[in-house]
Amino acid sequence: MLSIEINHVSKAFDSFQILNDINLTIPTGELVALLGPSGSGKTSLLRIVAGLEQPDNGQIVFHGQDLTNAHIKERQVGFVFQHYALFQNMTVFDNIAYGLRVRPRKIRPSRTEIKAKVDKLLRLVRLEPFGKRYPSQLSGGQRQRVALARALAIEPKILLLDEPFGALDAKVRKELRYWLRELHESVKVTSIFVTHDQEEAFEVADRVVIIQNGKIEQIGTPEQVYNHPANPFVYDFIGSANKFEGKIINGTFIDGSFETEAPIDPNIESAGLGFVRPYHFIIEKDRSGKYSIPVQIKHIHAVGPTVHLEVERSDSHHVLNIEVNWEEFSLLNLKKDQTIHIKPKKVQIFAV
Amino acid sequence: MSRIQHSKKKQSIPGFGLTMGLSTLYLSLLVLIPLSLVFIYSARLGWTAFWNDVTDPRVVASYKLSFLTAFSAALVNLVFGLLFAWVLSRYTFPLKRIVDGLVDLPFALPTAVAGITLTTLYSEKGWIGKWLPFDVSFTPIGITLALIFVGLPFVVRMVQPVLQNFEHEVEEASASLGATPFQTFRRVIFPQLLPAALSGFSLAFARSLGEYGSVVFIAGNMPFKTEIAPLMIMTKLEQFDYPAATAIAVVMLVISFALILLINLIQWWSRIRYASH
Repeated sequence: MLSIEINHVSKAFDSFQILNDINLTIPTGELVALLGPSGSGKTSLLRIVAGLEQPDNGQIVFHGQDLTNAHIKERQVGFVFQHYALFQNMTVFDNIAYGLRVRPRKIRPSRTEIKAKVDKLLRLVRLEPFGKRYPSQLSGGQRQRVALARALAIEPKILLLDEPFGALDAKVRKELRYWLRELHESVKVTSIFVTHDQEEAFEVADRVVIIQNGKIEQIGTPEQVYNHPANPFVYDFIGSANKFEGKIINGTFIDGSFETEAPIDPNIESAGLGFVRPYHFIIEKDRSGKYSIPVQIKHIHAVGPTVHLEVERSDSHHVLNIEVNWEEFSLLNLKKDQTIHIKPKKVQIFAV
Repeated sequence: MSRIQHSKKKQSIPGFGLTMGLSTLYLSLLVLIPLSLVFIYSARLGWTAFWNDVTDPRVVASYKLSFLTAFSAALVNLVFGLLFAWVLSRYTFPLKRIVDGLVDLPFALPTAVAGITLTTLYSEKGWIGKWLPFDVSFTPIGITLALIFVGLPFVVRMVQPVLQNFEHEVEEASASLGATPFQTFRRVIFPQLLPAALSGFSLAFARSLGEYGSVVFIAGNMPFKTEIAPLMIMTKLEQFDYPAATAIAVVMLVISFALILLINLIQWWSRIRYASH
């Protein structure tokens, strides 16, 4: 069964099109990441799903029920904000209990029921000893966990997280990522989270939706998106890449002295873009055939297990970034200003 | 064995001694010494004369009137000041900057001008007064009106920055958890405004207690009915009865101080109860 259906949603602000005919369906229990650069419209889409903003066109359906014009209060969504948005005047306990206490008397749980529920949630977010503290007495990571517990307290049909780890430092981000994954396994509530961090999206989500300029570029599992990017934008966005601009003739991609096979209909002749990940190069001291490129080493950053090389192509003088592991680097005994030959192991070609 | 020396705790900006010293000097020269002189002057009267002066029924009536009108005016300003601050910080409308500037005008306007204008407007035949079914000028209502005018900016200016810095997301969070707009206001916004609103209230109250210029015109100054305490002091001064004037002032001071202290205690309590630590 589908939990969330987003049908033909568009939204413009003044003359600027934020979202352009977005279609997306999310099955029950799935954790989906909306991934995109800032200004891509991903947060607007999340806010429209939540009911915090109205779309100009289109429809939002939850569990088969059209909620396009429903107020956020009626949608039963848990919303987690980037900057926590906790109630500063309440303790952690009161923050979490808030959604239960504001219910109309008829459906409000009793005091003891609320207490039991909040205690359970405090255990879930591993904050049992902090119930009596105020938000300002907690660290950023703890605050975001309170925000999550508060959102879960109302037993939302759908959990929406807007860059939930965006304001936290790198180490806490990583911890919370794993924790969110675990939490989702145990709670199994349909969730959408927005992020601009591709690593975060790939580690946490069941499916990744890549958005740019208000349009969906690709939808797929992290493996699908990573291994088979649908277009140059996605390839470039989800990891660092070296770009080759050339043309495709007779099934071959040609850029200067560099050639490689293009898995594209050989009858098509067009301009082409080639992408190679920095770690998809073989380094050789001597040229071995037409698939390798002569380059000169400009910089060597030899910190950590991976060595980063900045090299300049001898033909076009474009700069490329290459990564090799330490062992290989020391075996080759590379020096600055040395000329070497690099052979891409894997090239992704797009006709443009 | 070498001992680990404890480093002295240093703050990034030095000068607690300097700033505290200057503050104390300033406060002494401007507040403490002049005020203590009031006590010294009135002490010359001797206990019996002092008691007779301050318990004169006409004077007692003026204390009651002063505190009652000042309190009512501050209360009205609390409610409308909150409303005003709300409108000014939450919405945009044409001429907003001008309206925002108008709020400060009661501070700038000479109080006598305000008093005369209000008296004319609200007198029996005045533009506004003639439409009202009750008298305003020359009654306690008129006094309260003048004090409301004078105390208007305090609550507005105390509450406005708090509302402006209020994160919109917090309200959205409250709505997403199922709260009605009223619940959001009562449980989330209001508790965070309360300390600032109380500060504004106590400032408006204190200012109104001592207000003289705008009130004398609209009050009518009828003994036992519309004489305020500052006017009683002026009357005594005009009769060159300085000790009696200071005696009344002492009573005003003591009661004001007690009341303001009480308001500050309530404010302190609301701060620990509601606001962040």
